[in-house]
Amino acid sequence: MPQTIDVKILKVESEKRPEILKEMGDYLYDSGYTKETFTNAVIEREKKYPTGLEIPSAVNVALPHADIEHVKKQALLIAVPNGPVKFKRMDAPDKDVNVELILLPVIKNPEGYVKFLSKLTLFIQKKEFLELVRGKKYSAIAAAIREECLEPLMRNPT
Amino acid sequence: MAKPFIYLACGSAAMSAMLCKSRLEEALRKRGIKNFDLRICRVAELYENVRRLKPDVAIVTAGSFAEEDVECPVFSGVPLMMGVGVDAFIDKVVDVLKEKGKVP
Repeated sequence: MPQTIDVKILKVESEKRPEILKEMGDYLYDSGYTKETFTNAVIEREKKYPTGLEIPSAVNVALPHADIEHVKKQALLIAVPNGPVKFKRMDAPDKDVNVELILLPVIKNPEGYVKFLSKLTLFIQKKEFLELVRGKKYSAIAAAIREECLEPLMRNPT
Repeated sequence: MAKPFIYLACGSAAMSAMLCKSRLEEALRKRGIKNFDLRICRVAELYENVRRLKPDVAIVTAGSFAEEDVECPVFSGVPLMMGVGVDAFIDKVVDVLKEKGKVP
């Protein structure tokens, strides 16, 4: 039985990292995906283990997340901020990276979710996806991720 | 020949280390390396695990580890995580494994 991952996109208004993470966390809590502790766990984890990634051939991305104990239902919450947002780099936590795309995986079953992430990390570097991000085509971004990264797993779960 | 033994560590041992593990398995098999021991832990546990269990290589996707003095070669797992530059990354790992006599 393939697992469910709801792919959602949120228009965030804040411009700074903690405020954006709070907006995203509040949305997830209000929509029933997470427990009350999730938002704070994401913000604190990001301070300790930053998740900004510099991708020279694509848009820089951040993958903030929290431990599974804070999660009720699996999702991926996407945000395309109004302008670049400073995150610290995963591989060099003392350095900043200007992020244009935030992907917040909400994980309950890591083994299954990894298959989705594996497709997602490759797909977000494709030219067709970059155009959607740069054009801020919100509903098309979520639809493309569902179609390219999630649906193949539903059809063929192995 | 003893099999290669690699630790993968990330913040919570639930996301990036697992993703790196699945890409590493696939890449090692492509190189004809079929027997290996890949284990996952939290970065907070890595120093102690390396000291106690002595893996050949550690791959880390949370924080930079140069200053932590981990007692084995440590690589950033970002290439595995994003699937970019995987071949060059595997070259570096295989070089260490060769030096340690774990692969022919």
